[in-house]
Amino acid sequence: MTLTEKKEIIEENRKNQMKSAIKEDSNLLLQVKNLKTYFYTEEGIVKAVDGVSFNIFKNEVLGLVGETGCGKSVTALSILRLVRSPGEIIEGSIEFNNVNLLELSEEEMRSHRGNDITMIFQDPLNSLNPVILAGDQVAEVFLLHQEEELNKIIDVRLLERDKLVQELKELKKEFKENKEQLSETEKEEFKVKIKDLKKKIPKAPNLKDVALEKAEQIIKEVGIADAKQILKRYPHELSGGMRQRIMIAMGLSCTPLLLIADEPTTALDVTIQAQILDLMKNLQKKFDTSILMITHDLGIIAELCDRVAVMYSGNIVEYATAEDLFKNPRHPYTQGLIGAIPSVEKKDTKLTVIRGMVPNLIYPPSGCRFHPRCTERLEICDKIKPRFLEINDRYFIACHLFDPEYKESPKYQWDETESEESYKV
Amino acid sequence: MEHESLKQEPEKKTKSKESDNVIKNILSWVINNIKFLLIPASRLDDLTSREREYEMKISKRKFIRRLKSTLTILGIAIIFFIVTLAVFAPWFSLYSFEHLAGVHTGMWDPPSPEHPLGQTTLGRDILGRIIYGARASLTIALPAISFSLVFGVIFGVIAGFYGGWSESIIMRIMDVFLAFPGLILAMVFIAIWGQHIEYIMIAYGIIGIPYYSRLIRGSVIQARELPYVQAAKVAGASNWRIMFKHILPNCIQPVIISFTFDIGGIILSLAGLSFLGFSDPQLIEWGNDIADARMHLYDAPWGAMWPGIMILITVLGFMLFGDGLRDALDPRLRNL
Repeated sequence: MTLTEKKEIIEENRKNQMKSAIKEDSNLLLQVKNLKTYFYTEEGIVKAVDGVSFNIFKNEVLGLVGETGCGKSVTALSILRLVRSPGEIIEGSIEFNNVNLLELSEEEMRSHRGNDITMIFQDPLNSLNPVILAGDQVAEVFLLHQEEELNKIIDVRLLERDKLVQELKELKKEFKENKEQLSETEKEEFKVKIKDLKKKIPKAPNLKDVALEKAEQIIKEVGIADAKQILKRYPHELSGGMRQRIMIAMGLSCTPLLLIADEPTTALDVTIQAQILDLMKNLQKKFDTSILMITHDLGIIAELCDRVAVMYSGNIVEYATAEDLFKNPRHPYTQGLIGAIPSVEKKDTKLTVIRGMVPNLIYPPSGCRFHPRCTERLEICDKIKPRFLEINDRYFIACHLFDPEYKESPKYQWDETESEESYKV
Repeated sequence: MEHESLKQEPEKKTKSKESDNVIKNILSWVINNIKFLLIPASRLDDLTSREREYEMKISKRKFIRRLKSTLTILGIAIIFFIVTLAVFAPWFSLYSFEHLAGVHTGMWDPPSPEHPLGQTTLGRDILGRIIYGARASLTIALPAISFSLVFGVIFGVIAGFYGGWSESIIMRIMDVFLAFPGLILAMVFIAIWGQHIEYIMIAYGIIGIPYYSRLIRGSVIQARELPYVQAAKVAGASNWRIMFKHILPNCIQPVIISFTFDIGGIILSLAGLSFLGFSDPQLIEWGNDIADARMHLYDAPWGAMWPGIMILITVLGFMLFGDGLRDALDPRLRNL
């Protein structure tokens, strides 16, 4: 058997494995299959996302962890189809409620954005338009996606208003007809009645006012007490936490099915972080939204997520429930990540460091992309790309260590001087 | 409701006192709170919005306050003066438009009680002509500059936002327009279509477009990469909405400043065009008057001096205002 044949077979195996890995499920909300997003730069093709597959179920929080530059944000932007040129989604499918988002027209995609799928950005300080009032920005989402519902509300209110106006007219008529027969006190009573009725009649509702009312409700929902005031503030008049709350309000305003949160707490200080995470947790339950939580903070994952996908250099290397993953991390990279969390108990010992650097995505390492940094490296690791295997129930891993086929492969002997050098780098 | 109770408070207190004081107190309350009575927000039920207005009132960092430098006020005063002259020209002028455009006796007569600033070559009143001249300057300058502003901004935003080939096409066409000197293009237009005020306006309008589109394109290219544009896209806004609702208000500031500067510039070049004899001879216009009087600078200096002074102060007024506006709008100059 030649090497190329073997490779082909392995590739096929991998694909089959992937198919079985992603089981059909009625609860399935988003299914990303073999997504590849490449950036065609002048230096070469940057393979930012290279064959990522995962799925998100309804009411689930999926965490996506990884180092900076491993393709987390690009994955998120690919789901929304907002990858900027020179980036391009070249392969794969993103099925959202059984609709392949990659096959939709731009117009149809736009109706999904903000409505079914929304995203919260890293930097709340710059994600709000500085020249538009906060209330208007939240109201805009309603105006873009829920115009029909707003019109219904307006119709109902107009009917009510018409009734009151009719009542007032009749009252005035009655007053005019009986003017001469009434005594002074009765006249006074009539006048008071008419005045009261006049006060009761609301202004004719328009679309923007109703949208603003809805915005006020949702802003109250995200834990801002004086929502009415906040509506009339410009973003620069709000604090960072407030702005992130407004962003969350914008994200949740149309009760989306999927909320992508791209490091939502990175720019905030710790106490505000805790508040925002709490808020997201509560709102997730309240609105029945699934969340794709992108972060490099494992604490947030442990706090919030049901399942975790660990990304390394454009690939998902481990994909499991949060509990399993934290109790017993199996992939050497995940072990390294969890080992690198500083803690008070380990104060005296040296922090564990993953050797080496993040690989260049234009010329990624052959085979397993983690092999130049892996402590448990096998001889096979730099030759063949590991398969994405389900080793336990819903525990997926891409590593030769857990592949029964390569059990026999000998362990790679690290040249100590080489490793020392890589530490220095 | 709290607000209403506030309103009634002084009345209640004064009822016990003498009747003179009642009116006095009410009046003083009205004068003190006139701002709150006039602004719509103060009529809201909750007091907080009124409080906010008050905070804004006592806050020293205000746009108006930053506009309050002496030179800017001078500029505003000059603009106000010129606009008043233009709008109420028949009231200020001693003679009617027809009289000022007609032929009379008194060629280059010096100032006299009937003609306070003297007369021109056909015996026309100079005071009346400089008053009516303000009309011509403003009615040509404002539409011309608005024309170039509107189209320049639209093309600039489209070019900046979409980039790629649409940008190349638009900007190359703009470059072609940029190659024409404004005065000469206006002369060509007049040579083709005759000496009408509309063609002068269109000529200057077209010439202004590339300046505005270049100005705004640069800012749009900067702004389109910002997170809030991405956020607007995520919210599902269409490209046109993002361009003109989200990006444009963020980029319009240099355009506004340039607008005020360019009004002065257009008035100046219009005077130049008239001076060269390329404007409508029936038009009462400062440049025309200077052109008429340029042969008589020694024997009748008033003929050229007064229109010249008017051009000077008009342009100066717009320039000073533009300068002040730039200082007020530019956050880097906030040490005022």
